[in-house]
Amino acid sequence: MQMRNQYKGQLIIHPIMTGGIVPEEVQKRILEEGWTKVGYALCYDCIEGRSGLITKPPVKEFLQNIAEFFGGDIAEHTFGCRVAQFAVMKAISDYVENERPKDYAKVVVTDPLCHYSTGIAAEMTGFRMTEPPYSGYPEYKVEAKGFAERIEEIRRETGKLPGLIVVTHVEPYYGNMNPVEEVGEIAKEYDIPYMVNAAYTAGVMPINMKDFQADFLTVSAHKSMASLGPLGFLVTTYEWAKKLFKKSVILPEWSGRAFGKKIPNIFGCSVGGISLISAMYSFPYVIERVKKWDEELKKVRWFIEEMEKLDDLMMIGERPHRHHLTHFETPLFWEISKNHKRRGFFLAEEMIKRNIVGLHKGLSKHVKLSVYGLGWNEVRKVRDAFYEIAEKYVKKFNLEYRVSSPLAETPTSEGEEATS
Amino acid sequence: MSSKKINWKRIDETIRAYLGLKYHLVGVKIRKKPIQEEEKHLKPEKPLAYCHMVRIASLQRKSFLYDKTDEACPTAEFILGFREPKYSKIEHRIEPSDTKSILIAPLDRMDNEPDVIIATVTPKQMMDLTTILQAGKAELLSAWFRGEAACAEFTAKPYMEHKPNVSFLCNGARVVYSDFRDAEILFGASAHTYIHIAETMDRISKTGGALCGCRTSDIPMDVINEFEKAGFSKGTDYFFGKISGQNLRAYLNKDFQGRLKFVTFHLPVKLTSAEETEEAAKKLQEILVRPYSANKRGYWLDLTLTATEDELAIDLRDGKSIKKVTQEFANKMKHILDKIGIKA
Repeated sequence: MQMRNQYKGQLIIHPIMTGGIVPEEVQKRILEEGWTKVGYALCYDCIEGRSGLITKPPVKEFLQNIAEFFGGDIAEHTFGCRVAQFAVMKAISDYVENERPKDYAKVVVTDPLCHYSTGIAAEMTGFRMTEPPYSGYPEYKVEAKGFAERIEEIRRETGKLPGLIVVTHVEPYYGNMNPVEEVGEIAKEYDIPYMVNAAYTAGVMPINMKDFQADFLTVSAHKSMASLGPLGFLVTTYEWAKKLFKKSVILPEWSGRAFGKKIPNIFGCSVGGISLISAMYSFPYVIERVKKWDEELKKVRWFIEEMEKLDDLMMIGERPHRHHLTHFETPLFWEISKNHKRRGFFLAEEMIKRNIVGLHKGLSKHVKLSVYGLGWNEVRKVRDAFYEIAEKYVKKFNLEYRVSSPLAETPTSEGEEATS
Repeated sequence: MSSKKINWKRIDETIRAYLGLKYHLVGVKIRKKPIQEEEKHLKPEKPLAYCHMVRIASLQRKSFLYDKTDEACPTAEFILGFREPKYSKIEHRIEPSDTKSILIAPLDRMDNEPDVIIATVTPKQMMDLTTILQAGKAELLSAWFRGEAACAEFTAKPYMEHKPNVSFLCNGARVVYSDFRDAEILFGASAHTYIHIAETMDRISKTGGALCGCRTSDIPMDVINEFEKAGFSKGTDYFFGKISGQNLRAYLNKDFQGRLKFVTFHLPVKLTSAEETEEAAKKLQEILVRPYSANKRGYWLDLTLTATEDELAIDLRDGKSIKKVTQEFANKMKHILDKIGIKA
C-alpha cells in the first residue's frame, strides 16, 4: 500500500482540527525522545495497573492538573470525548436504574445541535433523547428556558425527572455558545445531573466547570487541546467520581481473578501511548494559549466581516460570534459549482491548490471553517484565497456577482509582520 | 452490459452488507449444453433437489453443475426444463424444455453472468429490498406464489419473464428436501435487477446527508422538490434563492413538539454598520405590521414574514404557489426598503 500525507505543510482550517494542531516543538520532542517506537510507550513503569495511575512519567499528576485547570476535582483520560460522554451516560443509567428509579426517568435532555456522538452515547446506554427547540435560521440560538420546558414535559409524562441534562458548550454546526450557566442553574434547581460537552472549547478558551455548575465536563484533546488523537478527558466532582469511576467488581467464576484497579466506564484502562504523551507535552502551551482567547476572537470576527464583503456570503449563527468555528452560507460558490466541471468539489480543491486544507470536499452551498491559531498573515491568506476563487470563476462563468470589494488590511499581533 | 466487466463478488458483498444477509447470493445458469468431461467434478455425489443445492450453495459456498440424472425433485425436472410435461399444464416453467445442465454457484464465484440470482432473506430484509427495488420507479414489486413447486417462483418465472419474484417456498423446500427455515423466503431476479439493486444501495450509502454525514433536517422530500421548482436550493434546514433579484431565504419553523407549523420568509440585507442597521430597523418597525417584522443582527437587517401555511395562502407542495408568495414578499420588501431609502 502506498500512502503519503498529501496535505503536509498546508494551512489547516478544518474546524475540528485547528484546536488540535500539535505545536511543532512538541512534535519534534516526541520523535526525538523515541516515544513513537511502541504503541503503549507509557506503560514501562506502570505499577498499579491503570494508565491514569502511572507516576513515571507523571500521568497521575497531569490528570490532577487537568481537573484543576477545568475547575473539577478529578479527571480521567479517555479514548476520545465520545467515550467520556458514554461513561457519563452509563454511570447515570446505572444510577437511575439502580438507585433512583422512582425519581428519574431514562431520558436525557440535550441541546438540539449537539454532536452526533452525544446521540450515540445516549443510544448505547438506552436513554431516550429529547431536545428543546432552537430559534432557526439564521442564528439557531438555544434558550435555557427550553430546557426547563422539556423537563416539565417529561415530568408530566412520566411522573419523573429526566436523568441527565447535556449541553454542548459550543455546538459543532454553527459555532454557537449555548447558555451553559443558565442551564446549570436549572439543573441545580431540579436536582438533575448535568454534563457539559466542551469538546470545541476546553483548551482553546478559558473554561471552569464550576461556573457552569456542571457535574461532568467532557473534553476532546485532539479537537481542542493541541494533542494527537484519539484522546479525551472526563472531569467531574468528588460527589460523582465514586459512581462514574467506580472500580471493577467482577469475579470470574473459575479462575478467581479480579480487576480491581480498572474502571469499567472508561473500558478499564485508557490510552497509554503517544496521544496522551502529546497532550502532556502540549499542556503548558494550552495553558498559555487560552489566555490569548480574546485575540483569537478578534481574528475570527475580522475574518467574518471580510468574508461577508463577498456578495451573498453570510455567516450563519449568533452575532457577535463567540467561537472560532464559523459557518457561512455561500450561494456564490454554489452558483459557480453549477457551472464548474468539478461541481461542488471545486471549492475545496481550489483552496488546496493554494495550500489551504480543511473545507469539506463536495460542499459549496455552505462552508464551515476555523482560523483559530493562525497568524494574522495566514488569516488574510485564507480570506484572499476565497476572494481569488470567487473572482476567477465569476469572471469565467460571467455570473452576476460582485467580488471586488476593497480588502481591509489585517491588524498585526506581537512579533508578526504587518501586511499590505 | 458486458459480463466481463461486472464484479459479481462486489455485488454480492454490497447487497449482503446492506441487508445484513446471513447467506451468500446464489447465481444460476441454465445451460443448453451437457456437462463436459472436465466439469464433472462439480456434479453432486448423489441426486439432490434443485432447491437443496441452492441452499447448500448459499450456506456452504459450494458450486454444483448438474443434469437431470442428478435432480431428486420430480417437479423441478419439469419446472427447470429438463423434461416436457405430458399430462398436465404447469404454469411458469422454463420453455422450451431443452435444459441440458444447470450451474448453481455462490454469486462471488460466478465467472459469467447468471440467468437468475437468488437471495435467501427474512421478511424484514425483503421489505428493505423492496424499497430499494422500487427506488425511482413507479411500478411496484408484485409477487406470484402458490406454496408449491417453489422453483417456478424463484427461478423459472424470473428466468422467463426477466422480472423479480418472491417465493414463500413449498413443502419440498422447507420439509422434504432442503430444510429452509420458517423465517426464510427466496427472492429470485435477473442479473440486471441485482446490478440495479447494488448500484442503488451504493448510491444510498454514499449520500447519507450533508456536513458530517448526518441528516440535518426532516423536511419532507416533496416539499424540498417544490422549493427547488420555485428556484430555491436547500441549505442545511432551510432554502435559499434569488427571487425577483432579492436574496430570499425560507425557513420552516417547528413548534415545541416538532411539527412544521410556520413558514418564515427572510430577506437579509447587509448595511454598512450596526448603527445604520439599528436606525433602519427602527424605521421599519414603525412601518411594518405583523406578520412582517424587521430586526437588527449586527450590520445585517433581517426582514421577515412568519405565518402559517393557511395565513400565507401557500401550498408548500406546489412550486408555483411557493414562487407566487415569495415573489410577492420580495416585491413588498423592495417597496418598503425603497421607502426608507435602502437598496436591497
